[in-house]
Amino acid sequence: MRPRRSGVARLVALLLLVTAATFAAASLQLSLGTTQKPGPGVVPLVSAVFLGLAAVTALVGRRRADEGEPPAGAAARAVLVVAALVLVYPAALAWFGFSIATVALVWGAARALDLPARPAALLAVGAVGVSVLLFRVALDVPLPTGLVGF
Amino acid sequence: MSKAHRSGPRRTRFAVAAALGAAIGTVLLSAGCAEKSDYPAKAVKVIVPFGPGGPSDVNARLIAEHAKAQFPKGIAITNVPGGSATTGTYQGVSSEPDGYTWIYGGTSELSSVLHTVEAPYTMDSYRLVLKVGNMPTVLLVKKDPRWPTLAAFIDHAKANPGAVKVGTPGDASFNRLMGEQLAAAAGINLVMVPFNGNAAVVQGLLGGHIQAGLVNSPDARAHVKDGSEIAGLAVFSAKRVASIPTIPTTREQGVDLVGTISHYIAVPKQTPDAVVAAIEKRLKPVLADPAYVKAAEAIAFEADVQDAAVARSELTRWYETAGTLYGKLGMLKKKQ
Amino acid sequence: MGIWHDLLFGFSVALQPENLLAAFLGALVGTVVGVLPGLGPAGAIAILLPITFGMNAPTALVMLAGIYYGSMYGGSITSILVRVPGEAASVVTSLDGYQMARQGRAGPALAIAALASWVAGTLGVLALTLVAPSLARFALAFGPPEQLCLAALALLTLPTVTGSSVAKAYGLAALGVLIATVGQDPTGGLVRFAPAAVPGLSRGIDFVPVVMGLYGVAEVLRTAEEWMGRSRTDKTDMMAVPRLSRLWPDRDDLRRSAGPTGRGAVIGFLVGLLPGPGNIVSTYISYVLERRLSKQPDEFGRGAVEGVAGPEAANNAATAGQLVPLLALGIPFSSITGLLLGGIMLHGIVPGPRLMSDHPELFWGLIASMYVGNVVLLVLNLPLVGLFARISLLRPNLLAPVVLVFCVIGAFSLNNSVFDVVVLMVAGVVGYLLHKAGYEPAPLVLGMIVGPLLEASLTQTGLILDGQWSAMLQRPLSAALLGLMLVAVLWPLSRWLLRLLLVREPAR
Repeated sequence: MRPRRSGVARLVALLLLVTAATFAAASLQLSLGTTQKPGPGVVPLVSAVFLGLAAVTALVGRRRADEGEPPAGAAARAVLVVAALVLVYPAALAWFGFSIATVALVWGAARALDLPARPAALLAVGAVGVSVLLFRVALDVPLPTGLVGF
Repeated sequence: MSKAHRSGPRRTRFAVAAALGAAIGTVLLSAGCAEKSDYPAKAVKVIVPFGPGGPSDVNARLIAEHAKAQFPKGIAITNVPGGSATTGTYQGVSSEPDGYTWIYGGTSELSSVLHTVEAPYTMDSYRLVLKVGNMPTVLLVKKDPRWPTLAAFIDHAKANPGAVKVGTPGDASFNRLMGEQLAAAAGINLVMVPFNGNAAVVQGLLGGHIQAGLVNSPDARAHVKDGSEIAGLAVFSAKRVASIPTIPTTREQGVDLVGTISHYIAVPKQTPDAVVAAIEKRLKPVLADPAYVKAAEAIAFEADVQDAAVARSELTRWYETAGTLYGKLGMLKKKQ
Repeated sequence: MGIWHDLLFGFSVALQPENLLAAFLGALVGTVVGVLPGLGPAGAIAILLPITFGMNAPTALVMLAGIYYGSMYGGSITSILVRVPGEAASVVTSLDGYQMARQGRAGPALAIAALASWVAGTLGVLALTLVAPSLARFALAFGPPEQLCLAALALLTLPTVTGSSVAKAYGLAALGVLIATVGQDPTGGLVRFAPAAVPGLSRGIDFVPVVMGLYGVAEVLRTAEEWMGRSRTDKTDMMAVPRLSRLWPDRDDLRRSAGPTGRGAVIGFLVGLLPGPGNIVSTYISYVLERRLSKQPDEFGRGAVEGVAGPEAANNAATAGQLVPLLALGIPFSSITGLLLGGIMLHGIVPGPRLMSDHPELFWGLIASMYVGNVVLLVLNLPLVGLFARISLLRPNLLAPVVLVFCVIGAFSLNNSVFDVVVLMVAGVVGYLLHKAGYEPAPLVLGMIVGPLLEASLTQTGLILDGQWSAMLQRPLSAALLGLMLVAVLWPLSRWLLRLLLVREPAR
């Protein structure tokens, strides 16, 4: 009996397969052109086929040493919390502006990594303060201000 | 409502303060409008919808550099490239209409690109202040005794249909449309090969991979000096361009087809008349300054200042022409 | 004789106080923007362009070029320390550089990166001095059909950087090409794969936020897992492990780096000459080559010093290579040399094939200043090694959240767009999943970089050859490249077949 592929590996392979299928379907809507002038659908279609083949191989092949198992317990919680934070962050950035959203992000991530509340807050305010000074004030990068205004 | 009643006195004070604030604000605002002579009260931001280094960017920077007397608070160039220059243009048209954000736009992004690219603005989203100048299309060829002139080139193309490959800066580019018009006018079949910008066209030409190329005057300039392997067969303008005087015009050679990418200063639609007038008044002497004109000429940009009405009619005319051409090529964006 | 005379003249220009200062400032700013997230050389050059108005042309060019090659030095620092490649040219450096840092060898990794950059940068300029004009002619021979072959060859041979599963590597390369097709197609301007529901997509997906997400943000997620998966005592252990064993590379490190540096310099310079993203592709070539040549290929990806020296040498030599077409012909082959061109044009000089004869002070002054600038960079960077190396000692739960801020600013400041931050974060989560499933994202970055070149040259080739694709065999260069491709496909295939026939591999 050969070992089954890890759950994550199968999940990723499935996601890649879906991506390939989506791109393939969408590129068929585009012109494939002629041999003299290849259309804008050619490269995406060929790439999608390659990706699909690779995904199928990854789905059915033997398990490889580099495939990990999903984390469990505290580690899983930490990963989920940080992943949720980073995925929500862009919306927070647009709504509340760089300073508020980023303080929340850094604080949350530091907490998820077991840093006590007060050092986490210090880290968050410090990191954001330095970035605002360096980038917004000194380098004139227009960090988003959001609806609140800073 | 009941909540408001309960906190009656506080609420009233708030309302009074708000009204007072609004009143003061209005007074200040109207004072600001009346006192137009203090434009520019702060630095002007100019959005160039291309990355730094290209002719648009370089010319905008030349203007900013020569405008220091008229705009003592300074003019800052901001590059916002992407989306066939629609990204920056949109950012410009949707900015505060207070005269402190300008768009340094070219013919394509202000008009014809709207035929092919889904953009969140129209030709009515901006108002023009001035036309700045031109960078006409130039037909370059790899030097070849078979086509010393435009007429010879056309004859060659006629005798060998499909054999002449002409590089353009892109399939939807202005120069490609000029090429299609040339082919139609001369009754020849030219194969248009799209490259990624003017520099890549020159590169293909020098390598001998294409026989001709359609670029704009700044990119033609460096490569048509004597002793070069590249020759300029025709410049698509009514009169010769001062910085490349050896290249004859299309009209001189019996082809009645001119075309140029021009640059314009535009501001958001709602910008008040007085502000636009103030910008125009201060900008005109800058663009007429011989020092600036000379600097622009060095990069083969032809200063040609026109007022908003002329600029608008040029753009409208090109918008219609381009619509027809794109329609023939099947390149119009799908109606949604 | 002539060339030494010219070069001496160049040094007389470069060593004038204001030009010396300009080289120093350029190198310094370049290093800083290389380290700072997002603010790449293009942005820095744009910010400094107004200042160059006041300078004379050689001084301005010396400074702008300094930013360009200085950023290649700086870019490697963050990819070694926190696995955030500031730009695509240092993705490959992070493969082994970051592993070295985790083993407490951040000092040697940074020092080797700086030394290899200096050696290769200087060799590159030397090559530029000696052979620029003739090589520029050669580079022009690479037209669309040859570029198509190069792009295909890169996608065929380079995805296997890390030697993990072949299917996974090629799959990710294909995914990279697909991601690059989102937005406008490179020559026609047609917008693809951008549903109206996601407005940001029509502008395309930039590779900087993708790279920062796949590496930087994903690494934060991995840190979270690893750190929280340990017991309290384990955590103190994890802290104790990466003590800085040494700050400087030892004799063995230097010996092992010499070959990769030399080969990297040659590869970088030659690939940098060609049209396209040479500075990035050359790092992949160097890495793959060094792994092939190594007696311990298994060490690659686990902290092999060769994997830092080779690619760093390659991308620095490539900057010199990319200047060849600009200086000899006045044609920028890449976007950054295009920027330099703009910087020169601001001074009313339009560089063309006659730059060398019309403006010798500009040409030779710049070349001489690059020798000086590379020394400046080394002197600037080596003392900082100790300081930077200490960053790798920070507790993971302090460092990881700050890395997030770093990535956010980098992604945002690229186009001042929140959409890029969305891309960053999604790429981060995807990168974490990919890692868990045993994928290494370097091939994806390669696909994104090479994809547009592949598409553009495909269209151009079809048109130029009138659809007669067999004509590619009549062009000597493209025919040779096609032959190489055939070998690249047949060689592993035949070995695989042989192995299949002779020895049945035991199931793992």
